[in-house]
Amino acid sequence: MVSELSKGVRLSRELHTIRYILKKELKLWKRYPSRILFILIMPFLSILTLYFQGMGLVGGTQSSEFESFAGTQDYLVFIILGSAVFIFVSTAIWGVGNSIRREQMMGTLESIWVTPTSKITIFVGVALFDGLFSSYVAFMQLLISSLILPVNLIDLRLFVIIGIAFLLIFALYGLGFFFTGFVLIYKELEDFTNMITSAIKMVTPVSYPLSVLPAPVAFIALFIPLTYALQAIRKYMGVGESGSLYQYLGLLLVFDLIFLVVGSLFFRYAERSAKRRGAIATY
Amino acid sequence: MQPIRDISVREHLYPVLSIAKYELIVSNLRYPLRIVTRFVGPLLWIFPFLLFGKAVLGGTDSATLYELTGISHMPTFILVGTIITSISFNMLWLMSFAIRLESFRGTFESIYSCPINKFTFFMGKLLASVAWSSMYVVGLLAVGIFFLDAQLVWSRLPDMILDIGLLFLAMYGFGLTISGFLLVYKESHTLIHFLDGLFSLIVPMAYPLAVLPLPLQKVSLMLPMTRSVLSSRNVMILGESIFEQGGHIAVLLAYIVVAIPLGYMFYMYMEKKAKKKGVLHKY
Repeated sequence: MVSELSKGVRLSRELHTIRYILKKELKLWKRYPSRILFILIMPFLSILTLYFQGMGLVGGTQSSEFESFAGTQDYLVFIILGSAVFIFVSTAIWGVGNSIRREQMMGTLESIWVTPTSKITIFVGVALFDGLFSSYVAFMQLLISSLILPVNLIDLRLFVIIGIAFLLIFALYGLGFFFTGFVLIYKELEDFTNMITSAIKMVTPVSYPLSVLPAPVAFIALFIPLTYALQAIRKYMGVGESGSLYQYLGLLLVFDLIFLVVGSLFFRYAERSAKRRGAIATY
Repeated sequence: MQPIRDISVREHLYPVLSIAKYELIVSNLRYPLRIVTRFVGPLLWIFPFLLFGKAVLGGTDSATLYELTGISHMPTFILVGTIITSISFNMLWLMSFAIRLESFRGTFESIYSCPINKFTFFMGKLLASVAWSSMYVVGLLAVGIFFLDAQLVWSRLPDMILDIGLLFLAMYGFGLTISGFLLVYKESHTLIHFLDGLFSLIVPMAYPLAVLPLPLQKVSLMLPMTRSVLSSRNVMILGESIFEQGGHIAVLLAYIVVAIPLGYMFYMYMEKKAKKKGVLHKY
């Protein structure tokens, strides 16, 4: 029986499962190479859109007005960093958050649900893959931006940026569990996912500083861990931000914990509710 | 083959209205979360551009924008661009996935075996798109009036409506072409997302066309949505008449005259190809 196995053996089995999930996710991505190209290009297009908008409004990449809001004149570096970190959020929401829906679409949900593996292990596997994949995309984003636009963001500090972004991943796991629970209850979530992704981008300082937002909206941003990850990274890079780096990192860790706990509790509730209603397998 | 009997205009119209009604109900009202996303979507589309504009300008007026376009009020400039692009992208998605969505819903076979031609089917989808997009237009105009102090020439509203009507028809051919493509190449979400991203970049929604590199400007001017954005700004912000928009209207009319028959022929060709390959019904 599983419960009679030693902790070491159980851990090794869980790790084995995670390794297979990583392999499966990699195979799925390799199956559609155009998707990888798309993921690499899309965030860059959104950077270019704002770059052109800035050029159209102030005629360059520096703005003294921007400095009064963000503490830096260079809006381009500000949005490139924001966009690179946001990749972790969108990948997590679309990856972990919609993993159940994806299995439903592929017709493999039932097979996965009945395996004697903890659901959390499955999600950790998917989330780990997302984290690694996001790091790659974020790196490519900074590289492409440095090659094409008038900025240089490729140096050793990049590893620290990705390290801080990885701290954000724990909160994103929690957000992912939350979304998975939502999928179990409401099923059709593509539009909703789109909306939440855009809403998070809008209320957090991804493309503009918090101070341009109306006060109630800026208040919401204080409860989203992405805000602190962005502030910590910009502080470290010397791109605006007046607070302390350690304060931002501390707040990020606190939100990691809260999101993980609340997300997994909600997922357990949604799973129980879906089982009771006989709705796990319904499409 | 001769029809069994002559069909009246009213009988032609009935399936168009039925398909439009079915599409509006299933796509928008069946899933409660979708209703929310449909209403919040346009706001999430426009506000990031407005907030970024505010961050770099520190206000609402831009001398650079005025030099390039003759318009200085940034929110009004973005509002008109957003109205036209949200209509275009809404149509692009709805028309392109007109057939593919039926596969997802499991209703493809029933619809395919109906004794109506595909042109009628697509007209129904177009009508649904018109109905839904009209609400977007009204909603965004309301946001402009109540929150953005939009400086619009209201006497030119009929001109803009005429312009939007031409855009609807011009986009119809576009949609038919992509829909035909999706009949054979099933997993093409990526393509549509990519087109969406590319059009967002090269259509001058939030910035003047002049800030784009010259080759992109040339590509952009070949698109119906670019022509519609430019002519709508000229009529609604600068107060020009629709009859002064000769070049823009000519491109829109060319799309209507050329792209609709070509799109329909392409669709029918792809349908034949899908039948030959035996992938018509495939998921």
